[in-house]
Amino acid sequence: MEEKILTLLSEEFPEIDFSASDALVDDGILDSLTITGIIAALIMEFGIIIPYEEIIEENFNSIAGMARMVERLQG
Amino acid sequence: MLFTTIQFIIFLTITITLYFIFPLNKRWIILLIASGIFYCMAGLKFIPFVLITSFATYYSALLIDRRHGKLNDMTAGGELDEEQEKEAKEKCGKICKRILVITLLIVLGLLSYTKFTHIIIDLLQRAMTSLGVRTVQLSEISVIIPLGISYYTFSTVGYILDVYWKKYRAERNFFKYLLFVLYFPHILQGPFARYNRLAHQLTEGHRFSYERACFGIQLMLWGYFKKLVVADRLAVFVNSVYGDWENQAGFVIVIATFFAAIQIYTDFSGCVDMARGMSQILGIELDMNFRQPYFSRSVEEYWRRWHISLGNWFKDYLYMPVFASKFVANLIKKAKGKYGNKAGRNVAAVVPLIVVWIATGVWHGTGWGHVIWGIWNGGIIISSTLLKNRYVDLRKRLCIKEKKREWQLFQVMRTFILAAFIPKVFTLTDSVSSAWGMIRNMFSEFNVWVFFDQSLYTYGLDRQDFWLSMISIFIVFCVSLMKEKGIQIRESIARKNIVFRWAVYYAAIFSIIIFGMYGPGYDASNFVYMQF
Repeated sequence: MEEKILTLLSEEFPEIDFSASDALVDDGILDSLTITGIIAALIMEFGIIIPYEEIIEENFNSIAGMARMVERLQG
Repeated sequence: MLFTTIQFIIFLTITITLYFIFPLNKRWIILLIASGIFYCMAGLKFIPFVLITSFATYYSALLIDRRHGKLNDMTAGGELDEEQEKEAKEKCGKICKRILVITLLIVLGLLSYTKFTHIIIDLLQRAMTSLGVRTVQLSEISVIIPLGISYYTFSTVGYILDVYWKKYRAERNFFKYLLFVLYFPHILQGPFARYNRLAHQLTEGHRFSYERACFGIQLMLWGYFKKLVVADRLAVFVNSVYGDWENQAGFVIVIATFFAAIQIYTDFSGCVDMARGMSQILGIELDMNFRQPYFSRSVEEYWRRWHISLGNWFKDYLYMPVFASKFVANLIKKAKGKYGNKAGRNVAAVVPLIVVWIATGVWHGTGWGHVIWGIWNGGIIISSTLLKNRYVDLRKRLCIKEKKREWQLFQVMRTFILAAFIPKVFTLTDSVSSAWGMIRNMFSEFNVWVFFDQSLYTYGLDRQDFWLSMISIFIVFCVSLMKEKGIQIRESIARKNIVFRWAVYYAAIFSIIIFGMYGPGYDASNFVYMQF
């Protein structure tokens, strides 16, 4: 899952190095506009709905965090 | 009681003195009493509105919080199996949602009553008149518009939504919560308060700090300068031209509209500087509301720098929830299924923006001028989001270097015209047809001679006042430019010797006293954003 998300996001946002940090949001690498773009990409790729409660730093700070969230929402 | 009155200065001095005399843990009571007095002096008829909103959000948040706590206890105890846990969560979710919806209906209903009653009555009257039925005149029906209703409604709605989303626990003490709602520096014009950032500052009590007090007073003085010396002086010229727009043309309208854009900024940001300054004296930090918006290089950036607390409120409580809703998620999926990934991305970018811009337009005003204002701003932002890649291509083809100073200056001027200058025409005139008339008149004559024939001194400001306006605009520009370059002005002044520091203080105080617009024949205007 992590690999799949990394490939997807690297294609969508080539200017961002997603593996550079485990605190993408806290370090300011991802702003709110980029996060909405990531959410849209995840919705389209995995057919999930990401509720507002899930849009927290913890879930977007790393590819691993995003993968955990997607798996949880798929299950 | 406006911030610009002598009564308020006396009131503030007494409040600050009592605040620092009282024991540390009781200081919030002084703020609550002062805020209560400040609000009562605006009108006793407003009290029921603010109390209903405060109590409804306080009590509902408490109920929701208790439900969350109960659910946590049940799930943490390990007494429930998976099925029972799911059922308990669903039940809790349903009850909390019901409480939330009822509260929002009450609170937003009160806000809607103050905002829309006139329009509904107006529409009904027109319909009745066209049917030949005689009705009561609109002027005979009075709608109470409580002081700061938009500001405290949004702050309390943010609070209950945060508790519902489990971002923090609900406040147990009603009076401490009431202080968060009523806190007098921010109730007039904001900035919109976030409970988790402000409430603890209000109740924990702060010791007096000489340095902080100096910085607070400096910020207040700067606010008074912007309001009394700049905004209220420019208002005379703007009102004079816009009040008689049929007989004005060319550069006179251009100058009046330019002045109007400066006026609204100095008026609104001046009030917020006063609020932030007086809070700073008390040891309380209010959120920033402006970050040199007229230096923005795009309309989108402008809206991130102008009325920041409103933009952040809409982002957190409207944009993101709409974006994360099932409705938008399904739209994204449908668009992707039918037209591909690009369409899905566009839906994701555009739909929440449309909702936010409708809400922003309605918040600023309910006339057709404000509808056009909302469509104009929203339209520019949405189209620049959708056409971003094309603009990048176009710039490459035209060999435009993004970092060139000339290009950046062009971007700043373009943004000022698009975001501040043109929309002003629609919000300052009383109807859309007047706005079109103004624009027509603006281009009807190339009367460049008005700059030389002294006719500009016939719009309420004589030669001295007109040039004083220009000098004060230049001062605001220089200070904004220094801030933009990251120069900490107050800290720089604090580092200078005592003679320089006091020279600056005296110059600020005397320029406000001498050049402020409150002498005989003048009347300090209400703050423009107070009406919201």
